[in-house]
Parts: sequence; C-alpha cells; structure tokens
Amino acid sequence: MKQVRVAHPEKCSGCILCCLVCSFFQSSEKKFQPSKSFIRPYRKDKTNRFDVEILPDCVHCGACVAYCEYGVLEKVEGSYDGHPRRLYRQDIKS
Amino acid sequence: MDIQGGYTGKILRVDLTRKTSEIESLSLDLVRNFRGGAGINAALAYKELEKFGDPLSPENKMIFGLGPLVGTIVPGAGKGNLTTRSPHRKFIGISGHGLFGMLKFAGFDHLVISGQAETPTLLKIEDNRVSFLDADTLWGLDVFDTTDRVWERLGDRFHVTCIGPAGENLVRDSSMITNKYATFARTGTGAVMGSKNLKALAIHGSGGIAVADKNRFLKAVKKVYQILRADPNLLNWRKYGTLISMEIFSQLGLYASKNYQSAFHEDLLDRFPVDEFVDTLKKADLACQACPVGCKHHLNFDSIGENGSGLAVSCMNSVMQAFGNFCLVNGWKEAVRCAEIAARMGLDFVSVGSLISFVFELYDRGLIKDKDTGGQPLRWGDGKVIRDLTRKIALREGLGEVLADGIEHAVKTLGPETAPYAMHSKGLGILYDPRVRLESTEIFSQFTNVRGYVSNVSISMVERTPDQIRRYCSRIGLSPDAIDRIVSSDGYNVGRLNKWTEDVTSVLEILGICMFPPYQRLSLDLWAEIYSATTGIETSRKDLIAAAENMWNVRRAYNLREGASHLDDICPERFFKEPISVGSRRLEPLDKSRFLELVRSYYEERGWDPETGKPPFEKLVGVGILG
Repeated sequence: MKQVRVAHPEKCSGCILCCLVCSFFQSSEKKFQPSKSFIRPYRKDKTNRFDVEILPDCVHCGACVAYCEYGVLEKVEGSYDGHPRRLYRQDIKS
Repeated sequence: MDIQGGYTGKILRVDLTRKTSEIESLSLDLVRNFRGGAGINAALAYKELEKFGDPLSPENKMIFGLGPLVGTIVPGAGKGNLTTRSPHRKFIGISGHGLFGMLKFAGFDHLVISGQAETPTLLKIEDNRVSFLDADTLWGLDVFDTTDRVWERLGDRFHVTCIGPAGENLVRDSSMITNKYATFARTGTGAVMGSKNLKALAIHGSGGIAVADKNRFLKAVKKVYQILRADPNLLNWRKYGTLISMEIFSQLGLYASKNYQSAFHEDLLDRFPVDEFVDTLKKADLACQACPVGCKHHLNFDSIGENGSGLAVSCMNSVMQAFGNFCLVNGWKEAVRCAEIAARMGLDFVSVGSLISFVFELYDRGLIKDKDTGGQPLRWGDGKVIRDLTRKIALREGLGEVLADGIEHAVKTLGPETAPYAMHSKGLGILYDPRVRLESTEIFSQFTNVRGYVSNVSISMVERTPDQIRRYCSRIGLSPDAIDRIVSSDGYNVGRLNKWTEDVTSVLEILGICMFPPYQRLSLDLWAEIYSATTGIETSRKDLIAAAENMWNVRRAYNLREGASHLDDICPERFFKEPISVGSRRLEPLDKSRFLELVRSYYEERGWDPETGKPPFEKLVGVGILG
C-alpha cells in the first residue's frame, strides 16, 4: 500500500494547505479544520521554520501530497514503522 | 439570503476597558452590500468610529476582518484586513496581511477591539474563550522577544500579533506584527494598539469552515490550481518574492534614490544582485495561510554575524527600497541589518526609510545641524547611523522624537522650509517616482488612494500598448463603453484605469485573497463562481465589483467626513518642479494641470463628483451607511 511520507520537511512553508485538505476529506463534517487534520506542521525553535508530523490515524489517502506545492510530501510504497512523526527514508521498501 | 458556508457568521467584540467580550451575529445587510473582510470593515469603521475622534483614545476601535474564503483551500485565501482610525490625521487606517486566518478557526469573521486596558495586557482568544492576561513583563520587549515569551507562556500553536517599543511609545509609523514577520504595516496600527495598552494578541482556534456546495467548490478551486501551476513564473514568484520585478523596474528607473533627488538605473543590480540574495541570504520559502506561491523568505541571518537568528521577511522589495534605495545602504546584508532593527522595534520599513532619507537631505541642505543630531553626522548609506536613528524613532530619543509623530509633524517641528523635502502622500512615505512612470496605476494611486500609498500592482507597472490595456479591460469584464473611455488609439487614461484595477484588487481584499499578481490575473468570473460555491449565495462578477465600489465609496466618505478633501489627492511639489535623470534619460517634472485632470478622471470613473471627489449621497444611502 502506498503511504504518505514527509520527504523534505525543510521545504515546509507553513501554508497549512495539507491540514486544510486532510480535515476536509477525512472528516464527516467536510469542513476545513486544521485541528482535525492527521498531518501537522509544527514550528521549530520559535522560528518560522517548520517540521511536519503525520499522526498515527492518517489513512494515507494522499490528499495532502496532492495539495502540497512545496515538495514536502511524497506518496510511496512503504511500511509504517510506528514512529509517530514520520516515515524515514530507510523505512521505505524498494 | 441564506449563508451556507465560508462565513462563521459571528463578530467578536472585546472591550479592554471593561474586560468584557460579546459575540454578535454578522448582519446579512452587511454581507449583501459589502460581502466580507475589508468591505464589511469599511462599513463598520464608518458607522462605529466616532466622528473627529482621537485615534489614540479608548474610543478608537481596531476592526479586524477576514473574508469568506479565508480558512478554505482556495489558493491565497489567508488575507486579513485591519481598519481603524489612523494616527495619520483624517485618513482611514487600512492594513492587511496573510497570517490572521486563525481568527476564522476560532469562530469569527470579524474582531472589534475597543477601549483601553488599565495595565499592559495580553489578549488571549481561544475559540470563544477570551482572557485578559497581564503583560507587565512583556512591556518594553521588542517584537521578537515578546512573541517568544507569549509562545513560551501559551504554546506556539497560538498566532501572536504584537507591538514593539515603537507601538508602546505611540510612534505614528509603528506596526503590528504577527508571528514575527507578517505585518499590519502603514497607517500606524502599532500606535493604536499601544494606546490601548494592548501589547499582544494571541489567537488559536479549533473550529472549521464549511462550504455550501462541495463538488462545485472543488471543481472551481481545481481550475485555480491548474492556472497557477501552469504559470511559468510560479517558482520565480516563490524564489524572489517581491524582488521578482527588480531587473525590469531598475531598467525603467522606478527605484527612487536619496529622497527622490535621483533614481537608480541598472546600477542598482550591482549594489543588490538578486541572485546573491537567493544564494547567500535566503534559507527557505515561507508562505501565508493557504498560499501555494510562498513569496516570503526565511533568511540565513546567522551568517552575517548579527545577534538574533531566524529572521523572516515578508517583503524584501520594501527592505531594499527603504534602506538600500532611499538611504543608500549598500548590499543585502546591510539592508537586512537595518530591517531587523525596524522589525524588532515594530516599525514600518518604508515609512522609516522615508523619514531617514528626509532628514539626510535636510542635513545635506543645512536645514538640520549637528546640534540637532546629537553631534552625529548624517551620511547617506551609513548603516550604523540608520540603525541608530531607527532605534531612536522607536524610543523617541533625540532626533527620533522629532520623527516619531510622522513626517507631517516633523515638518511642523523643523520649520516650513523643510516641507518641500517631505516626500509623502497623506502622511505616508511613498514608494515610486511618478515622474518616471505616472501611467502605472500603482504609482498614480499613491496620491488618490484613501490612505496614501498602497500596493495596487497591475499590468501597467511596465509599459503597455493600448491594445494590451484594451485586452486587460476586456478580460476583467468592462463594457465596450468603459473600455473606450479608458483607452484611445495612442494611449490610455491612468486615472480611469486605476478605478478598475483598484476594484479588481479590492474584490480580492474583500474575499480574503492575496493581491499578489498571480491571483489578480484570475478572472472575476472564476472568483464569483468560487464565492457562490463556498457561501451558497449566487453571485456574479458584477456583484463583486459592486461590493468593491461600495467599499471605496464608504472609505472615501469616511475621509471626507473627517476633514479630508480633493486637495489631499496631490503629489509632493518636487515632482512638479524638478526634473530627474534615469541613466542617460532626462525626465521632465510632471505637468500639474495634467495630473489634476487625471485625478478628476479617476473621480468621474468612480462616479464621484469630478471636482470634489464626493461620492453621491444615494450611493451611501443604498448600502445603509447614510439615511
């Protein structure tokens, strides 16, 4: 099964489009609601740089990948290693 | 009219004097006539701001508004508007940035803050819970430190908007800054916040925004993404941000220098090599809410050896112009060092650059002496002097005290002989020289705009043929009659064209969309379709233009009520008297009668009295403002 992976967190611009689409497509209310998103950018060290977290409830639909214009996310064949933050490159099965 | 999405339908009102808050419903009449965001804010300002009131009194209100598309995935839908009584006399205070959307998730389209806190206050809004927290320990801190302390106290999920020492000291050109970079700049918004003893505003929301017709919405939004992704310049917009046009603007001579005594030409590209900025200073892209363009920059500031790291800048063009072009600081690093001080102090870059280049010229002319500067020679391009003066303006020290109440007040203090060198419109420093290209709506509108300079970029910033303007007018849906009024066989009337470019950008301002050119180029029909799909209110392009016109009528009526007149829609005299050279080209001073004729054309195109610029009474009655 293809899974969403945070490939380049350093490219995150903080636009939150990933959270907006995730909440819209995954919630039954069909609202743009970042608090209900399964993907979250979070601020690094009080700067305007961000890291990105994929929450365990993510269903890997890939909507966030489709709407990320900054190349942060990828959808690739792989397995989830149980780490709450992201899939790492070494975890991706070729 | 039945609202099914986009809007939250609520206004949050906060009274700092009484430490109370209340929630009221958004009036459908306001939605019908003004649609949202900046439009509704203009109506609230007209109705609620006390006539002739003191901008720094508790009676003034800070009116924040977010358009109906903010909070959705519509590209660029992050723009928030702030309207208030400007500390710059009789003109309406208007500002905006793309990082105030958290208010929508907290459940509100608008936030109106009134009163004055007894002691320094941190206003916390978490969904519909409002808290008035003590900010004694924050008072006196700069913008970056204040933001850090609030994040430490409340968590960095909060969006923090605060003032620095400049706002606390009621400096007329102070700003409010969100998350250390997104700025409610111009028109002294920081001073208004400071006058209320409001040091910081922290907002977090967990709610959501619905849309009326999901499939119709997604179909229309998909079209926007297709157009943006097909734009060959998209990645350059991101890479260079507002510097994208630097090369062509330099060639045209649009960058003024030394307080409009001269102009840079291509020599500017040697002083500020744009690729050097990208290669050595820029660390990462930064975006406003829901923006796939990402024109902001996170800078690699450690590398230039100043204290403070992680500096983010919204508009590098304003950094370069304020400090590099106006004050002659040489190179990116020096300009950014000056910008860092201004940002930390909570000062407006362009206004500070204008103030400093003004006193530099006065010093050259002997109108300011060493005794006025504390013995410090004022040398063009001296970064240390510029940073020192910037701090002094914020802290109201020495010469800074003279400049802290704005350029018009400085002329009063320094004497009428200094007036010819005060290069401003309605108290705000301007950005472009009209002698070089008055045919640009952005440059022309610096003088007719209700607040003074406003970024109203349009296709006319560079030279265009009448046919190109004709096609542009046709694309935004103007009638053949209107197009014939604007365009002739050998040119176009910038006053008339300006009315329409303002309306296009104002539709975006009302909906909550960024006014950056990639968004302006999308058709109004497409925006009307997105608005209809989002809200469930069937709306046409003409309806959106009508809302923009209503907003302009009300803003104009506000200024006239407060004592402004057509006499304020004028250039500084220097532009009518002195020629300027751009490279080997000599450009003559502007013809004043031609300029005034263009202003009259602008009024006429707006449907205002061509001599006084007064909107017709019935246009204000029709939208519930008068009568």
